[in-house]
Amino acid sequence: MSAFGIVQAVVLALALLASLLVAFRKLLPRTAKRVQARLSAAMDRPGRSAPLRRLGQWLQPDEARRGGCGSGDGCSSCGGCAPAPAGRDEAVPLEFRQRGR
Amino acid sequence: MSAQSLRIALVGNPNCGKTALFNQLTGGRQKVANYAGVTVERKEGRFVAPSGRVLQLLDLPGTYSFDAASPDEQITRDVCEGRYPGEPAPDLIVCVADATNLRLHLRFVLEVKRLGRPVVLALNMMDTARRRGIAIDVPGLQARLGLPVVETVAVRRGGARALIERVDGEVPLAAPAEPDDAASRADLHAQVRALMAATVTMPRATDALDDAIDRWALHPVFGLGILAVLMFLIFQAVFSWAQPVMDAIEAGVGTLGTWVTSALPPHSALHSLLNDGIFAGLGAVLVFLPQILILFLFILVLEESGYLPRAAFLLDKLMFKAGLTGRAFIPLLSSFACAIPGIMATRSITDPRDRLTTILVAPLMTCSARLPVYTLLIAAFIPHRTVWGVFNLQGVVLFTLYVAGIVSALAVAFVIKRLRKDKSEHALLMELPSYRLPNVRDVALGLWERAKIFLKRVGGIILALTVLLWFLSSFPGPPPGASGPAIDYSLAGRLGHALHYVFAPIGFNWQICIALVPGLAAREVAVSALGTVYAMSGSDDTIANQLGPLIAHQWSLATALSLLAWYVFAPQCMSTLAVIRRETNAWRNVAITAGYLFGLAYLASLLTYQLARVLS
Repeated sequence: MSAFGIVQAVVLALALLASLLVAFRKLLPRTAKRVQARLSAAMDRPGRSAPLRRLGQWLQPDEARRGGCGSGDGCSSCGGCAPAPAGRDEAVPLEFRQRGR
Repeated sequence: MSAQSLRIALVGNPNCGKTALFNQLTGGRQKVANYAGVTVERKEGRFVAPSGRVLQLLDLPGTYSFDAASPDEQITRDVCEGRYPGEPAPDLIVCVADATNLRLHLRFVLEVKRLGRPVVLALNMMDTARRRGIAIDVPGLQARLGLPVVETVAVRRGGARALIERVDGEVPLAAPAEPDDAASRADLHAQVRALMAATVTMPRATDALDDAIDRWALHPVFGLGILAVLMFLIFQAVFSWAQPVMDAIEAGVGTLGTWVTSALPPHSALHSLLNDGIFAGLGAVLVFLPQILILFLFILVLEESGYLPRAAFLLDKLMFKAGLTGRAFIPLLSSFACAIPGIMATRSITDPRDRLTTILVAPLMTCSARLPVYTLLIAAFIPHRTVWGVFNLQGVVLFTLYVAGIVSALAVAFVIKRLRKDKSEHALLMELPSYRLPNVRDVALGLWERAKIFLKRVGGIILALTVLLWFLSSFPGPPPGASGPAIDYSLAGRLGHALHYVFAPIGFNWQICIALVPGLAAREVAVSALGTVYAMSGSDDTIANQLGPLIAHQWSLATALSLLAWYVFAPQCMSTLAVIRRETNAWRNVAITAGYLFGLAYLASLLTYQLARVLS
């Protein structure tokens, strides 16, 4: 294979991989976060090499890194230190009750 | 709480300027508009006060009372009372009141005071109050209320200085908590009357200019006429003003594409990915940015002016007959931008059945993602000529498509009303704000946000799906000795030909069938997908970069009209379905929405296609 052929194959493979990743994260955000968290936990484990652990930490989903309180820049940045559950859903779903007769 | 930080909640009646203050203080860009019910969620931001103290700000949905009737009002009540899950009670409540309408707003101030928490009252829109000759004895009001009172003008630079100085100082002492019962609530009205008599002088209850405009704008006949003319002019402008910029973008994308791909071997896969995939696909969508911005310019100006609640008032009777409440107007209007915020805005609807009906019909409103599809087909098939002396025919067709969406939503709501046999009436209680000249900065920021959202979509999900479609359209390659276009042998080509059996009765060719699949993720992806599919099918790259003339040459008018009819109804947006699931907590509602919308889309396309074929 020519040098151009190799470069072309690498660029096409990267483009495909990046597109799959973007589509996966956009279309299945919850599953994508779960997979990301698992992958990160598997990499960032005692006994793993330092670069792998760093990659694992980098891969950590945003909420886990921020402690789930929405403080933005990490623990103690908000000053409130609210014990908020991670990924709190603010949606107020519909609730139907039987009408009084 | 650390000694250096403070959690502050912004509360007040709807449309008193809480979010404008929030944006002013935090530098945020939350949506603001001149009508009630814009904020339906709790928003959080922070800023550093001059003393170096970190102030964490919560922007809460507006409410008239803590006797919460709708889900968004419940959030405000729960946060203020310290009952919101996982959220400590605020250290300080800043109660924002519209200085031009204190008779209404002071009642809620008194309710907040009774919570027994530190409160600061911000008298907002003081500039308008002074202009209207309203005199407020601020020290007197402060003494009588027993609360610190500051003046603010949230829409003016530096208009929140007094508030910043106040919250940066000592936290005021809390008034003792008072019991909350029916008798004490009735007493609040008497207290407001006494406060108003002692501290506020108003030359007249309403603004003279507002009254003069409303005599025409709210007239049962002229008012509807004005509304129709306004809407009509917007769609005329979308087609008439955008063309020069669209041409420039098209030329720019073409030049960039030629320049980028010139260094690559012409028949290489990389050349094809860039030329047929990325430039043909993304260029086809990007060109619609000016039209989207023109549409939003009008929507933002109308939102800022205070006209929209008047439109809700005018249409309330019609909406009620169709089975919708007047409160559905704002969520449905938001759906013209995107159905997702529209569906979320239904949280301001108190009755769960009314809310569900509004959620079910919201996807029928013509969102901005439909615009690229509509304008592509209109520009390709509807002649650019003037009708009745002044109107652009293409603009008339676009207006008709928007009207078709509205009429369908009303018809579906009417059927739902019949099915649920609901005879109950829900009166529309809506505050009509004062008219005001749109703030140029807010409108510009709004347009910038819309452009960013669109460009982010183009560079994100649309680019990703375009690249994936290029792969599916390129592999596997044609067998040796194959004579047809390579795409015929690819995975996408085979899928398109298989789907063609289902869509042939409504006039869709196999290229449209392919485009519908990635178009499920977002409507405008269908345009980029068509660009890619046609670029892959043809050999002439110059033609492939101009999708409009190509489809005008290859499709029949009946096919184009059928596709337009399909896009009026089809729920080609997975995010909308996901939000319906979240807001209604039931997959059943998602199935109902997707089922009825796809059914209507197929039926409408079938009728349109067959009729157009017979007539042509």
